[in-house]
This record gives sequence, C-alpha cells and structure tokens, in this order.
Amino acid sequence: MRAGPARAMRAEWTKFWSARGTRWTAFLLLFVTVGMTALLASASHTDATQAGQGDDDVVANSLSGVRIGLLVAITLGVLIATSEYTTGLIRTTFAAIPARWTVLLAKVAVVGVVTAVVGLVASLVSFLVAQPVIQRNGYVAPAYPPPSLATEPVLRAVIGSGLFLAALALLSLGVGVILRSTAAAITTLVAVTFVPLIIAEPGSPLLPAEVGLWVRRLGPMAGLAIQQTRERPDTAIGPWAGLAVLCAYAVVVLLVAGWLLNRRDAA
Amino acid sequence: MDALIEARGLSKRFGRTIAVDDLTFSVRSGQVTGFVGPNGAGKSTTMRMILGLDAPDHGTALVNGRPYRSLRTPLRQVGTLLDAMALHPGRRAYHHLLWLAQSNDLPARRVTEVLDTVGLTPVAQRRAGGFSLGMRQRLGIAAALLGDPPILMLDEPVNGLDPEGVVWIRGFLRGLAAEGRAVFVASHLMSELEDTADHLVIIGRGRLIADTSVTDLLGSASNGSVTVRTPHRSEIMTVLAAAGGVVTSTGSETLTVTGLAAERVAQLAADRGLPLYELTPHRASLEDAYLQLTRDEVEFAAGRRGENGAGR
Amino acid sequence: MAVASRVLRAEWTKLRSVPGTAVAVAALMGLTVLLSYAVAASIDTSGSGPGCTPGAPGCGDEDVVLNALSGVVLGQIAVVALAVLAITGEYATGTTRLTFTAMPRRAAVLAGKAVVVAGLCLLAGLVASVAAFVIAQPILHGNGFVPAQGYPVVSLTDEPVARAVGGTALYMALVALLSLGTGAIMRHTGAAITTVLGLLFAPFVAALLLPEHARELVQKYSPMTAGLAIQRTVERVDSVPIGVWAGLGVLAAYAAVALAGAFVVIVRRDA
Repeated sequence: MRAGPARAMRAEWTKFWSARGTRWTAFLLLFVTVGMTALLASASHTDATQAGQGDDDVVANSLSGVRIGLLVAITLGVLIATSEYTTGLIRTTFAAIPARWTVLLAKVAVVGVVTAVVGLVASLVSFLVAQPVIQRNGYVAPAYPPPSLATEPVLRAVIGSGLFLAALALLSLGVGVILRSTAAAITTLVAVTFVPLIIAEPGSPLLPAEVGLWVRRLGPMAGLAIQQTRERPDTAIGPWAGLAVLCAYAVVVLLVAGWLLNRRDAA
Repeated sequence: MDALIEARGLSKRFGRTIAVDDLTFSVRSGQVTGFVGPNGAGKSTTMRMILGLDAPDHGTALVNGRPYRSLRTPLRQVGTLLDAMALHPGRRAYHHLLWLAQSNDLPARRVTEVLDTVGLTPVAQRRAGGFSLGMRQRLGIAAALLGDPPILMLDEPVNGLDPEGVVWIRGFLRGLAAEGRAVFVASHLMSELEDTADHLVIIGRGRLIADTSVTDLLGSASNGSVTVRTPHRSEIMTVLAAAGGVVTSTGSETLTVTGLAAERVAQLAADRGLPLYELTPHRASLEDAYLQLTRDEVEFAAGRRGENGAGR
Repeated sequence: MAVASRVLRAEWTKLRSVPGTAVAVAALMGLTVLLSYAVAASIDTSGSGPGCTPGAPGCGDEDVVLNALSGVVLGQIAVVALAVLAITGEYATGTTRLTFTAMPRRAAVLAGKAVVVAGLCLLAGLVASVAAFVIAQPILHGNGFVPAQGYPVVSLTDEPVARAVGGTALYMALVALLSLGTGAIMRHTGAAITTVLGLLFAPFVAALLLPEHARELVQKYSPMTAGLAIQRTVERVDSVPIGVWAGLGVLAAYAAVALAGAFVVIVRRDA
C-alpha cells in the first residue's frame, strides 16, 4: 500500500473509527433516522379509501426520518473536518502527508462511504419498519397500494436517500474545512439547509408559493426530491435533478475547500 | 513556619487506575518545596485536588486551614499555574488577566503590574493564540501573581522557557520564598529544582516516597566519585585500593575512584610522592539521589536495549 | 452581593473579549433582519396565502406582525452558537479549571454566565426585532397591507405589537439559556449545538409531516413552535394552539430543565 492516496485513506479510516465522537455519530445517524421515521409513521393517518383519492407520497413518508437524520449527517461531516483543528492534530496530519489534496480526498472518501452505507441501511430499515405501521393507520389498497422495493421508483427513493445523506455530509465536510470551526460550520449549514426546509415547505405561510418553489428547486435541500415517487402540484423538481443540485453544491464547496487548504497555513 | 498547605490521606482513582494513594504532606512558608516524581506519578492530580478541581475519594487537602472551595477570594491566597496552554486563542493577554483580576476584586492596575514583572508588557494587547510556549508560561505565572498571594503552586513552570527564562524563574522563586511565601513547585525533572528547592516531596505511582529537606536527601545518597589523571596509574590504583577505595580504570591515564573523598585521594598520592595531573570530585547530584530513590517507581520507562533481563 | 458583582464583571469581560461574540451578535441581528425583510418583500395580499381571495371571509387575516418578525427563525441559530460556545469554549481550551480556581463557587459562576449571555441575547434580540419590524412596515404597505384591505396601521406602541417584539427578544434569551445549559452538560461544542438545533428544528420539521391532531400536540410542546407563539397577533386556522405567554412558558420550561441539569453537573463533576 505504497501509493499516497491509499495510505491517506487508511489513515483517515483509522482516525474515523478510533475517535469516539465520530464513531458515535455514525451510529446516531442510523438510530435517529430509523427512530424518527417510526415515530412519524405511527402518528400518520389517512381517511382516503377510494383508489386515486389520497395524494400522500407514501414512499417519501416512509423515509421521513431522513429529514431529521440529516442533522446528524451534517455534524458528522463537520466534525471530520474541524476536530483536527481544535486538537491541533491537523499539523500532525499534514506533517505525515504533506499533499493536502490527498488528505482532503481521503476524508471525502471516508465520509462519503460511511454516510452512504449507513444512510442506505438507515433508509432501508426505515422503509421496512414504516410499512406495517402506516398500513395499520389506513394506508392500504385501493387508495394506497403497498409500495414494493422491487419497483424502480421505490428502489430509487431508498437508495437515493442514502446518497442524499452522503452528499450532504460531504457538503458539510467542505464547509468545515473552509470555516475551521465546529460552531461556525454547523450553524451555517443548519441556516442554509434546515431553515429553508421549514420556511419554504409547501403550505408554509411565511413565503408565497412561488418563492418557496424556487427555494426548493435551487437550495441544497432540493436533494430531498430523490424521495419523491408521485407528482404533486407542489413538486418543485425531479428526483435526480434535485439530487444533482445538492451534489453540485457539495462539489463546488469541496473545490473551494481544497484550494483554501493548500493556500492557508496549517493553522 | 506555618504549614500553609496540608494534604492528609489524599487518594483518588480513575476507573481502575490509582492515581494518588494515601498521600500526606505539608508545604510550609518561607521555603521552596519541590514536588517531584516521574511522569504519571500523580502530581497534577494532587494539585487539582488541593485546588478543589477534582474531588478526592478519600482524604482532605487544606489551604491555610480551610478547603480551597470555601475561600472567598482564593487568588489572594493561592496563586496557581496548572496549564499554560489553557488560553482562549482569540483573547488578548490583557483581557485574560483582567477577568481573573475582576473575579477576585483586584484592581486593574495589578494586570499591568504583573505583566511587567514577567516581561510581557510589549505583547499585552496581542491575542494569546499567537503566543509561543515560553510566552504562555510567563502569562500563566503572571496570572498566579495577580493576587500577591502568600502561597504559590506551579506545575512545571520551567517547561518551555529559554535558558534566560529558566535562570530568571529560579531566582524569582527563591526571592518569593525569601519573602516568606510558601512556594510549591511540581516537576518531573530533579535537575530543575537542584538550585531552587529547599524541601522535597517525592512521589511515585501515587505514593509518597520521601518528604525530606534537600540537604538530608543529598547526605543520604551514596557519595560521589573522584576522577584522577596520573602517569603512575598502577601505583595509584594499588594505594587507593589498599585504603579502601573502589578503583576503575577509565583510560590510559585516568581512573575513577569511589568510596574515598577527594581530599583523601590527594593526601594518599602526596604521601607516596605520586603526582596527579587532574583531581576532580563529582558530588552526588540531586538527580542521582532522586533516580536512586525512584528507580523502582517509574511507570513509563523506555525500553532499554542490551540490559540483562530485558528492559521494561 | 459582592460575589455576584465580581462574577458578573469577570464573566462579562470573558464574553466581550472573545471575537466570536461580536460575530455572533452581528449574525443574530443581521440574519433576523435579513429573513424578515425577505419574507415581507415576498408576501402580498393577492391571495398567495392558503386559498384566499380579497374580501372573502377568512381573508385579510395575514399576521403582518408575525411575518415581520419571522427572521428570528434564522437569527436564533446565532444565539445557539453564542450561548453554547460561552461554556464549551472553556472546556475546549482548558480554561474551565482556571475559572473554577479563581471562582470556586461554581453555581455562582454558571449563574453569572447565564445572566451575562442571556442578557446580551435579550438586548441584541430586542434591537434585531425592533429593526426587523420597523424595516418591514413600509415594504408591507407597499405590498398592499393597508387599511383599505383590512390591515390597520400598526406601530410599536400598540400592545400586541410591543408584546410580539419584546417577546421575540425574550424568546432569544430563553433559547440562549437552553443552549448554555445543554452546553454545560455535554461539554462538547459540536454535540451541544447539534442537540439544541435538533431540539428546536426537528419537531418543526416533524410537525410538517404529521396529520392535524399529532401536529398540534407536537407544536404545543416543542420549544420553538410553542415559544414563537408570543409573536402571534392574529388568530388563524393554522396558529399554534397555545396561549401566547403559555407558549413562551413551554420554552422556559425546557431552558429550566437544561439549566437545572447543568447546575448539578457543574457543581458535582471534576472540573
């Protein structure tokens, strides 16, 4: 394993799993996502009985915990970047591996893989756990035929949710590298992702429908569109297009982060 | 001299590790007391217990007869330096000392005074993040002096100071003790305390090994050696061995003798008419005495190569 | 009391001598005003609310005051950062030991910190709320929120407006206390900020996905949704079903629990 990137990745992998904080956020991501989905599913309710009557997106609702779990994904991405700055470990890292792009790419690989895998497991478990619960609450045929993982839209929504969490974690990693402070990075990300999620929700009284639509289309939370499995009047953007928007944010931010990483002192 | 710090039966463990084990000692005014032990011996933990930062599992620690946490203006009674790195990087040195002064009702001019004492006046308005280790150490010492306290507790104050600073602080500590204060200095290097300490509290693995004055410790250590250089090596060897010395040859003309004082060696050589080109006594240093005492109590020893029976 | 004044002076010096504080206060005010401005600029009376045609019953019931103060949703994030860092920053740098060496009465230290931090957030929040309200008025008038459409002119001296604006500042102070308490318990910057933000925002997001009965339950007992009821000046169908002051009380209860835990933990644990 003499190639630089491989060594760097191995180092980042070890650092990730040996630090209690980062290790726990991975488990927390799973726990929060599944737990919140179960909670929300158990409180859900529908009166629709005829075919074509209800317009709830059952699949998206079975993955609702992702909207809360994304907070953990943000924290994970930020901590991988900033915890080395608070402890001064970053100097040791750069002394061991002076090629800073390599270090950043190694972190990207570790964060990406871990959140994608954990996110995927979380989405899958959430979906499976939610089905019997929502069926008890009235989401049954003919109004809501049970969705099957074997169908393309459902599979896309589940896998895509894992990818969404990974892309968001990578965006957070980039912001963490740029700002170098845990508090600043988390608060910035929450302000930019969570807040629009709330005020631009369909039906929110705070913004008119037009403006909310554009926020959902162009903000990082467009990535949540990957969970959509039915067209609704308030649908802002297609599923893959939405995920692409989030990925674009992540790529741009990571490029800026890498450029800054190279230029600045190791702090 | 009063006992200003009294530790009685202090014990603390962290999980399964016993950090401090039934420690009893006193620190008196008018002298510098060195608190010495290998790394991990429990010095910092003990100091934290005296300051009420960590709660002991057993035992008590009193400062001026009272528990530290009951003092109303503690900085006026005990000046402490525990960790020179405990600084907010964005805060200026002046403000770092200012809030400490305000917390104990000390006037703001004390801040400028102590900064001047430690030589940091030029950087008073600089943010602490840009300070070198030596500067942080000085800032920590300045903080300890804010309340002009009769007791000073310093954990490794020499760490990070350049040679000029080391000399300065030695004289400084001795001066404070001469004023009648109690100075309690922790260090893992005995050589640092060689010319500074009057009294020593030596611990190892959390337990008290010695509570003694420096003179007593030096006296009890095995005597030093004498190095001799002479053209009449074999004659000198015979003579010295006959007088009870243990002689080792260390070169074609040099010998090392133990068990005989330098004066005795000189006298024996002179009686026989054997010239000595060099006669150098090596007194047992504090370091040697300390190492002898703590040899078995070192917790973290580097592996020694080539030692019989395998290094630790 | 002599101890109190000493602790307050020291904690205030600590807070004001750290550059992050000024940044957070600026962000608090800037973000609040910014979002309020954006909301005010984008709403009008032409029925962009849920199913409304002018003159129809139920129309003309936009809560202009609440909308003008909606920026607090963004500004509170700066409050959380400021208050959490005020305590976790000390743990991160090791300054906690220095603080407790200088001031061994730990409960007094935490109390002093709480007063100073909450006081700053209260003041900054007041400035931000007033500014947001004042800036939003001409914009709202321009967008049609005039007496002719059923929206009388409102001013800061009107009782509901004063309550909403002052209450928003109180809201920020309570969020600060909640954050401070959580930070003292968790001791870790990232964990504490995430926890408080999660506590504030997650129920809001969850409520959006729940049917009516469950949603109302969540809104009544969650810190942010209940606390923001203080801004309400018009009863609407989608208003949070809790009294304006009772809602703030819910937030206060959360803050009290966090602070109580913090007091216990700070006094008893090793520094």
